[in-house]
Amino acid sequence: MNQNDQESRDLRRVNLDTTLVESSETLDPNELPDEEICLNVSSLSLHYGEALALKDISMKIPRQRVTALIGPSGCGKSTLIRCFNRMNDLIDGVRIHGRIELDGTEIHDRNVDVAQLRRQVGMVFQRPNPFPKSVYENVAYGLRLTENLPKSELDDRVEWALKSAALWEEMEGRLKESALGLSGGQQQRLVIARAVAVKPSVLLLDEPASALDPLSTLKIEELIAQLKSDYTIVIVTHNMQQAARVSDYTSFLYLGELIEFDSTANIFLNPSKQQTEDYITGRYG
Amino acid sequence: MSRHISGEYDKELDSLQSTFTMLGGLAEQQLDKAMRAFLTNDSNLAAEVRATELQINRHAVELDRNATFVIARRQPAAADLRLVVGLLKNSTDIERVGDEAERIAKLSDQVSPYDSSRSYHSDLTEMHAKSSVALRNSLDVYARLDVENALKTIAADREIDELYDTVVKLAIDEMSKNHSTLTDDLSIIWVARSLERISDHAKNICENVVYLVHGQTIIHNVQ
Repeated sequence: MNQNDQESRDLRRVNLDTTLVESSETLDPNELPDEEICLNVSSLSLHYGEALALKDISMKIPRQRVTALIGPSGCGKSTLIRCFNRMNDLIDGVRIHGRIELDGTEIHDRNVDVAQLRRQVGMVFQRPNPFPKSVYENVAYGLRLTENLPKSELDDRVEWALKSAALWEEMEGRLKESALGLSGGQQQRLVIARAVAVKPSVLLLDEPASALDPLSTLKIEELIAQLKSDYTIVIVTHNMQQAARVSDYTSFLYLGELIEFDSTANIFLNPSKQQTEDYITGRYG
Repeated sequence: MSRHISGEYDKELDSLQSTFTMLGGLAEQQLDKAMRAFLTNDSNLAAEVRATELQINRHAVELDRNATFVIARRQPAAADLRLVVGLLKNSTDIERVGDEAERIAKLSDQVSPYDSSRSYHSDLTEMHAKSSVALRNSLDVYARLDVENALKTIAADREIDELYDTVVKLAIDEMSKNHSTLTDDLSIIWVARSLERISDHAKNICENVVYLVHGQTIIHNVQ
């Protein structure tokens, strides 16, 4: 990609000297009022040893919306999503600069309880990872660790979580069966049920459907659409059509830099940056 | 713009563009032949226009089908999506230009030989010339993605609208003075209306150029 291509075209600023029909699409994420921001990332940089994986990233992730992170392999999208619940803390040699505020609280502050943070910011990975336990125990596991609920309330919460993950109808009579016997799509929804059972405010989904068949993928996408009314969702996906289908906002990352962050409609219909356009139109390696 | 990683995708988009270019060329010829047939009362030329109209329709259907297939197969985004959507819209406009040309050609068979001494003659011929230029310009700005000239062509549509009003007024004056040429004068109004519509279709294509380049829709009839 040459320098000219990399320059911002910012076509929306072009004065056509005529009347334009303005889009009434989702607001620019940078123009949202503070109360609508869930995660506020400022000047975030991350090193793995000497390697700079994230470069000075700033973005405001809206509350109760789906924000997709897209970009080629190695661009830093998984690294970024793992910053939101400090999963990168577990990796040796990681250094992080900058700020991430969750509902106004800096998540790197010394007095932040990381275990509590991870309950508040749940995560689902590419491969379904149910525990080798029953369906019921998978959902109840986190609750037993965090809340001392009576059996009847625990049952209610398990049912609620399975309903939230659109799995109750399929699992109602199979709660004692091993989770490992479920299909891949069911396992992934079970993992989502496990994540929502502890009532987080944010759900991080790292390629949640990439190991699933098309029908299971559609169920997960439908579930995301339902969950966003209660949770702020950040999804990493390699599938650009999936980003276009499920998200309200999309950010494009390349080589650790945030190239563009805008409403999904703007990103997929009329991106401002040539690099974004090249990536989503398949002109990019 | 650089090429896609998929060379096949580039070929599919190039093929759509080629079909549209051919369609546009045919429509230009149709307008020219239809007006010549009308002004010179040439029934052979009028028959030729009617025969070619079938070809235009066939190519327009082919373009629609192939563009729809590209959407299904490639799921285009951003400029690619605007290109394909623009081609679908343009295809409809060009197909309708063909319809209007055919309408003019048919009228030439239904009226007396055209009388160039009538009061509306100079305005009608000027309208024809400006409509032809508008159509040619629209195809040209589309091929070059030339927004500046697209906007000029859109603005020039007002002149054609004014000429249409003048021709209609003069034709009505003629009808009120001489009832024996009522059918012929009425046909002039139909021809002028077709030319005015052709100019509108050219304007639509120019608006699509703005959409294609800037991703923004400009209001119809904006000056």
